[in-house]
Amino acid sequence: MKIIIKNLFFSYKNGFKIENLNCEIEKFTLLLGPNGCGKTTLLKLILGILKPEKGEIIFDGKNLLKIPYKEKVKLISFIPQFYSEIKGFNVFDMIMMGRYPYKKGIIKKESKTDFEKVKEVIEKISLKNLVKRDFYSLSGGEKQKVIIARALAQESKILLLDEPTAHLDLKNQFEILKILKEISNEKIILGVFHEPFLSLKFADKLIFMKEGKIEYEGKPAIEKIFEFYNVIP
Amino acid sequence: MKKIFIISIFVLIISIFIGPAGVQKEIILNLRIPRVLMGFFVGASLSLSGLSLQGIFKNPLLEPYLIGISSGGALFSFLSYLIPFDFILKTPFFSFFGSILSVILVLLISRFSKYNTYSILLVGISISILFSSILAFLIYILHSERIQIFFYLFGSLSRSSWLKLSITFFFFIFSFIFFLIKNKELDIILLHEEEAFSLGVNPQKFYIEIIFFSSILASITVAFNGIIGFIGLIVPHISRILIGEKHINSIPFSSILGGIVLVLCDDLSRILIKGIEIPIGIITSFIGVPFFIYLLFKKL
Repeated sequence: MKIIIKNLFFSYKNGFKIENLNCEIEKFTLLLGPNGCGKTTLLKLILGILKPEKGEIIFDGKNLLKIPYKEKVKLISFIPQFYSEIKGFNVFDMIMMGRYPYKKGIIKKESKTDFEKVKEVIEKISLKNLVKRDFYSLSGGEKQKVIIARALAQESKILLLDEPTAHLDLKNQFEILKILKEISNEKIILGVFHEPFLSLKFADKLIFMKEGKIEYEGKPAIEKIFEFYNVIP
Repeated sequence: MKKIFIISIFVLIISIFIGPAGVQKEIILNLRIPRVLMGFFVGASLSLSGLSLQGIFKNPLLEPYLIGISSGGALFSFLSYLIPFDFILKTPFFSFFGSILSVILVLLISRFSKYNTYSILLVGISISILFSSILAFLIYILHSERIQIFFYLFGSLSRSSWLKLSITFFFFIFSFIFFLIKNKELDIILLHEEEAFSLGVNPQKFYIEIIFFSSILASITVAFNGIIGFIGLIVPHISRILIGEKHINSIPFSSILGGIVLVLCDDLSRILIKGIEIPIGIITSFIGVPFFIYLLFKKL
């Protein structure tokens, strides 16, 4: 299972460009690079919220750019850097949002399968003791676990992460990365991480971007990081 | 929810008997009941409109009055009287057109700042002032009755009738059901844009639906009652504090609370100064402006 990006072109009005980008994303792929190099843009292009000018994003033999939106949302989940500070939603409600793509009819009522799936995910991520807690009142680490659980309930095949551990302490970062590593057996994970050293220990592949281009694609080696950031340990 | 429903029934019944003209059967049936019920559904409509706008723009400072929807509606409601031909929904139709025109203008101008929270608000207030000024100018040169200016710019429920109430009720129920059906999408839209998109709610498409129905709600109230500001700001805020942001709860709660608040404001407008009826928009502004300043500083 892999995502193959072929000859991807995209440009913003401010002049920033992604030109002829080619790479393969598989298992747990770490996406690194300096600020403004195009990491988040690449995530948004795969997600479909930005449309490329040219190119293909192939997954499972299909071009993701041509798949209808309703089908695509069953394939891709997105985990952002910041949590939404919404009040009045408990953990169960938040995870249930992941079942939205599967809801049918005008009212979009939850089915028996939706409830079963959410319960299954709650067990898997060990969130049983938090189920009735208000999402707003949780700690950063707990919130991020709930968001990952929501992505699991979505039963997507691809998980895109935009600095999901940016506001967590080391212990929580470690826990989140451990969960992601486990998930990577069944999903493709592409993650942008602010702290490369810890995440590198869990990743299967490293992609390094610079000025809209792929500078390195291969094994996650710490020497490469030193080389790119031009630092001598 | 049960409590607020009981309170609303109580407020409605009491309000029917409040006023300077006594409790004659004719007055109760033909004036008070339609007026009190109109107040309830106008309050409910404005609150629901504010709630949905605040949700999609993720901005608790937005409401139909402050982003120009009400002023656009009021200007075009007035213009409808200048058109010689007549049909039953002429004024609401013109009002809706004016509201939509205001929103389009606000969004087009705010596009330059990438829909920044404060730019939408500032552009909205500017458009609102512009449309209100054009309206005041037109009323001034075409009519000399000052009451007209007061009616449009500060709102009044004094022109309520069973027919106007029926039309307001129909559009409220129509929009209320729409928002209730869309409660899950409204919940998801509270998340970050990329999150909502990845969960299956495309914000760009959803915004159009919500703005359409919010404008219907606000424009109907303006067409029959003039501009009544700040209800769409205060009520959703109180509702969020009391029952949270889950729309399956906040849609009915905000609507009922909005209805109660406006009926009480109308009661005040009738009894505050003996022999004079204060335009209801003045009452809501007295309460709403300090509240708005409080929210603004809290957010800064």
